[in-house]
Amino acid sequence: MHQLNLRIFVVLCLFLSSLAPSFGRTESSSIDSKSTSVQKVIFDTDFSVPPQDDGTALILALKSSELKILGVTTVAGNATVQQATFDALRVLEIAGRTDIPVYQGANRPWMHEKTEFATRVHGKWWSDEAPPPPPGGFAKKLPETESAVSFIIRTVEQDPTEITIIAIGPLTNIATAIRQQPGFAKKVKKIVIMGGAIASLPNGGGNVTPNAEFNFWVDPEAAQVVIRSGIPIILTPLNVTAKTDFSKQWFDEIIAADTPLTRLIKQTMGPFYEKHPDVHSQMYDQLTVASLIDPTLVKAQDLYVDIDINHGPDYGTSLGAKHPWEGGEGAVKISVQYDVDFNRFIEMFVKRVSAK
Amino acid sequence: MNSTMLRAASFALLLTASSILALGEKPKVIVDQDARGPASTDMQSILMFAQSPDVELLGVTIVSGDQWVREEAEHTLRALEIVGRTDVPVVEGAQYPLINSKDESELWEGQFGVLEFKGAWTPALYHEPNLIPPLREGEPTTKPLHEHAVDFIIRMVHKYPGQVTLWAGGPLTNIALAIRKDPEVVSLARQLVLMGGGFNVGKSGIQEINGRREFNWWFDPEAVRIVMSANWKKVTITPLDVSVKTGLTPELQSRISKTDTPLTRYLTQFSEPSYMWDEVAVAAFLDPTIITDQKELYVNIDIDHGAGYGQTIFVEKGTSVPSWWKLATVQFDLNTEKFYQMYVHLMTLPVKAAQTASVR
Repeated sequence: MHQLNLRIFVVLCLFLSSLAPSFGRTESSSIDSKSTSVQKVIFDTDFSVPPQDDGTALILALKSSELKILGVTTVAGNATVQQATFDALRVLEIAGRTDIPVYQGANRPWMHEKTEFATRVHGKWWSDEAPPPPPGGFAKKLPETESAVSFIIRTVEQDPTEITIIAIGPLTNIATAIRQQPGFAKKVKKIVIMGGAIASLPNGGGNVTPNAEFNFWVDPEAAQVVIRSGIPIILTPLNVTAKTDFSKQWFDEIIAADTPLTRLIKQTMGPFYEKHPDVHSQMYDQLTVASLIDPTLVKAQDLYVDIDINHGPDYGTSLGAKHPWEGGEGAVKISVQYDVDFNRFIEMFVKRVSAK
Repeated sequence: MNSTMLRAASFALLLTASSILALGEKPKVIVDQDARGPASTDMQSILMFAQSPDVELLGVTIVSGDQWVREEAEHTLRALEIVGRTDVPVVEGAQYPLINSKDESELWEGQFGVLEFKGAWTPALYHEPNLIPPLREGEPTTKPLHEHAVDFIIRMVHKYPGQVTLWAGGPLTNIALAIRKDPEVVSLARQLVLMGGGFNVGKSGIQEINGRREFNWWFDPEAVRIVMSANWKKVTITPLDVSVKTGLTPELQSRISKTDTPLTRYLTQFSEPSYMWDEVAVAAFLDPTIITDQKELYVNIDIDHGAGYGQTIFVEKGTSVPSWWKLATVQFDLNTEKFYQMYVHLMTLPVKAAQTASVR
């Protein structure tokens, strides 16, 4: 019965997607569309095991032959940097991909200090507490001794204009690499970023302060440096992730497959869906990874974007407009996603994450 | 005076004389500088360290500020050749501040008035960052170390845990990046000593009437925020308040030129009358008794991008402050004659014969 439903669903999806030919016609001209060759990527993440979105985003990337992950670099954000590191090592171990090295990165954002507010809202980026053991205990493998920033610089210098960075946490590591190494920015092929919320587009509210999105809010200064760096950027802001929903239906389909990774997902997310079967769960980082694999899943437009780094009520807010504005002289034109073909996206996601 | 008292007194004297010498071990120092050349306050501070027999100079790390980093590195290599200290590695660091930029400074000036000095961004001095104009003092034959300043700092504090003094005479970009790249830098370093900031001083800032807008800190305010909010064992600040009580006068210059060495010839030819911003921070490190008034304060910097961007901010000790405010020892007055004596002594010491670079 369930399998039948899935088949009907897949057919329906394919039908619906054929009705939406405009997807993939991004208005951005600077960034090439679907690439046939394997893309070499660095996976920079404020990781923790599922239900954290970074967790399933990494699983999607691991299960996508279009991507070759050269290394996972960790940063403080959702979790402490240590938890990000040890959780990433554990997920790679479960996936049987201990060949992928993990490099620990920044333990704090550039400027943002711990506040009483920060301790009340989501995220442990301000903490030094020891990481809890991931499901099944700590992985046997340890992180590399080289720092995340050194690895990022070295990898890009060795293979200029060939490396894509997937950045789905605060942008501290990337900004540090840009500022340490003159000429680094020119050698990065592109960065796909989950971050920000563009107030001037629909669904432009923030998810941590009224207007600020979490990743950008944790390290606004780093976000500004990366946005202004001149590296070709594709941004997945909240405006587009608002159109995604990892509802229980999709969770059930994934755990119907029995693999080490789906067992992990079942173990970590199951109790949540038991308790809240009707929950809406946005797919932030997963969409960034999916749209790198298949840019036709999303619609994007070129906007001038900058980040407010003043320590006032709009700290960490991203602003976007078709033209530069007074006070926004530093804004840089980047590609901003604003719509997604959710059916094709979730189909890809479920299929790949549940693959043997 | 009985013999016990005599022994105690001479012990105290000995302690004072060797105040920076930890049980015979020379303090290990990394000098981080925006080393404008030739013979600027930046370069003279490097030369004082290079001439001092009392420190182990691990290396000179360079950062953009007064000039661009690549040009500064060349001037530093040349200066170290002149004093025969080619054993000291010169290591290039950050080319740009974390956030501040020439463009932003010009937008700021449009609202709040023109700044008198903007280092490498000063319109009359400006050139492209990778351009290295000919060196008036001659071209160096030595090369910078093939390593980044940030990595050099990280490597040295790990190699000599608890022993390395980071002495900073320029914008703090390299040190801030090192902290964010490897948070252990702070706990592994022995201490941080720096020239920067201004407190209760009404001159010598980069606008005539604002001594709290000090150049090093203004050039990269966000780096100062990172560095000053870190949990160092000890932070010592030589601010403009001390600088303005010093002067490289023609009289002082003539005390140098009485001795004839390659270094005194270099200084006589290229040094210019000015405050001795960085030299006094070296002298106070080598002999803390040069400082006659200092105070512990919570010290940080304004990083809001408005009228006060880059200005020193500080709070009295004992005030209840959030955890990111950290105490620093701030110098306010000095014994100028003692300072000048040390300066003249170091600058007139014989220079060493050229040495081959050692492997660090």
